[in-house]
Amino acid sequence: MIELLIENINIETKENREDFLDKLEEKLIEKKQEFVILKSKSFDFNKTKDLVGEIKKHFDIFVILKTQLPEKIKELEYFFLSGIHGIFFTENKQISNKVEEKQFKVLKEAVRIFSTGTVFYETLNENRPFIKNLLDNNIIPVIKTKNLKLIDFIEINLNKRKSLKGYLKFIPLVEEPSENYGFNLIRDRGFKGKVEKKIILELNNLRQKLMIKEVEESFNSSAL
Amino acid sequence: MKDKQFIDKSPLWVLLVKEYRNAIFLLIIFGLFFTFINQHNLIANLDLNAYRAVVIFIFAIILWVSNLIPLSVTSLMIMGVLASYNVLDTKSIYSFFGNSSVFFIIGAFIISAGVRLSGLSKRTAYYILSRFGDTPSKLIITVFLLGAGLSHIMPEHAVAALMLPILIDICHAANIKKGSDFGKYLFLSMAWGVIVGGVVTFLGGARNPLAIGILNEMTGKNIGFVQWIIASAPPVYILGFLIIIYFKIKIKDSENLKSIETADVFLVYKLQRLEKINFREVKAGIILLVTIFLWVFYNERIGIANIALICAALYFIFNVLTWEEANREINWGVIFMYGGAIALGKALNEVGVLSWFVETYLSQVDINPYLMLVIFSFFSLMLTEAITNAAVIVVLLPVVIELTSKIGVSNEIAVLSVAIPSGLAYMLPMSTPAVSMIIASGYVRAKDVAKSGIILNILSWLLVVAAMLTYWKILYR
Repeated sequence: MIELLIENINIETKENREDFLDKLEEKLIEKKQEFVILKSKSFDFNKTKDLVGEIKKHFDIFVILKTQLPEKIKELEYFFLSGIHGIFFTENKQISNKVEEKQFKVLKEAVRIFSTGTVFYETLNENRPFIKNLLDNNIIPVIKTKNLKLIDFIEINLNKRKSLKGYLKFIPLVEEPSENYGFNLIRDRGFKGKVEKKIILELNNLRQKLMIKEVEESFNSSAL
Repeated sequence: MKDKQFIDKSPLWVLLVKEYRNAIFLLIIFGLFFTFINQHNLIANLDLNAYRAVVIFIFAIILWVSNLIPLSVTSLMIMGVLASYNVLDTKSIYSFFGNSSVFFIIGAFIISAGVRLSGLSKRTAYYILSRFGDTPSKLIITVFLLGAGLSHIMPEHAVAALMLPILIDICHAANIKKGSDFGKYLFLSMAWGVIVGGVVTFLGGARNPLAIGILNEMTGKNIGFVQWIIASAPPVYILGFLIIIYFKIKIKDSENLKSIETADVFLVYKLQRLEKINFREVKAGIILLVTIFLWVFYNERIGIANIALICAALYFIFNVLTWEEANREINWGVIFMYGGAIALGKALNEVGVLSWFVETYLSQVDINPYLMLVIFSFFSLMLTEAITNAAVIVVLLPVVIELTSKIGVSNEIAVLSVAIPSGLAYMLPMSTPAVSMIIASGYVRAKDVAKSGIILNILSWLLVVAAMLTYWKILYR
């Protein structure tokens, strides 16, 4: 079952499509959200793709998948093929000083597949070199604790990497209220902000469209 | 669905170029067009209208050959462009669309639809195959002759579409495997049959009426329905005969007899399992016979296009077809393409481009006029492998007709020398629908088609040249 999280609000998707879209719209307006997070226990490609397609058809919002870091790179490709804009990995181990090399390889591949600034990694590890390593590899760390000094550190490093900040205005992925993150979010964006969001969203969609290719099934004969 | 998709991880600029290459090419082509259309002083001895006609012609060829936009849309656009740049007045340009050949083609599509949708052609195919295909070589030769015969009265791609599933069924029933020689020759015989048969009459392919349309617009001359058959049949039938001998040599009856016995039983069964002959088929058959009769004996008095339209109407009057059915079968893209092509050819003639080109470049060449025709027929044969035969006709025929007018060779011979080879495309999948269909079946590889196609091309060309230098000279003194 796929659940939608908007700041921990669950929306069941057992409902029919119309009701689901109505409910989602209500929540988006209420929370003034510009993104939605999908979460599922086991990834169902076809269901996710259908759901993402419906959301994209009706809303100009970013769709992020929250999932454990997969073992294989192939799984990353399936996530991408489902149409999501970004991915939010959760840590599936105890606090450790480093992510295993194999896992880091998967993370780096995720950065390659998804647009820069759309790969998030949730961690309990507050080790600064570790956090810096993530940022150096274009992975945005999402820390669960209220460590303001660490948040400042992340902010300073993000300011040095403008390419990572592009999506953060629209996808503030923290457990704390987003104001604490200190990115000067503008809720009421005005016309310019909306245009900016639309451009970033459509560029992401275009990038996806260009990268996803169909295997040729048959040879087409000449027209006349 | 996920297994049919993959992620291309090339750099973004590469992906953009791959995705939008057609748009980029179009931008370049349009850019060049607008750059050159007003550069009048680039070609001496051509007035402004003639110069523009040349630019528009080159623009059209590039678009037709590249197929960046549908061929029919290019044709329509070209008419608009010719009128916009005042190459000729608007009324004249659009009047060319009313050429009788275009309406003949519409009528022919409807007649073919009547024959196909009534079930008459399918029944005919099963009957002939079951009656005459009881040994391997006889089956293959029957398939060849059936394809050729049906292509005399229906467009060749429609015949190929009709016969392909029948051949696939035969192979399944007789357990003929993909990769087997017999399977390969079975499908090759169908493709070669429809290609060869399709050049003999006006009904096998719309290219022949197009060629007549251009001839008529440029010179006022005509080649009638029967005259065309009289001219084209002998060299083409000789070609057919040689192909039959080839199959006789290649197919060893003893090796495939058991399979064919099964196939024969299957064909008889399929024929018996067809619905009873119904009144619709009878009506379709009668109207077809009446149409052919009129074309043969009343062509001069009534006109082939008029006969085609009136007889096409009979299919509706006598309830053989509905308009929706006919609409699905009429290839409107072909109609638009041909209308525009005739308009362009005529415009080139009217503004003097063709006579300028022939006088400036071709009539200075000191070679035998017939040798020049031989070269053009070769170009036609080769070009048609890569581009649609209609584009070949439009590119070559106006020049050849103008040339032959100047050098004292009959225009009719010019038309036959270009139009017939343009319909004989054997080698490449894009050359004709029949070839791409048999490759798609899996029983024939592209390599086999290309190898045998080269030999057929040479043979076809030699026969056309022989006819040009002997028989056609007698017919069109």
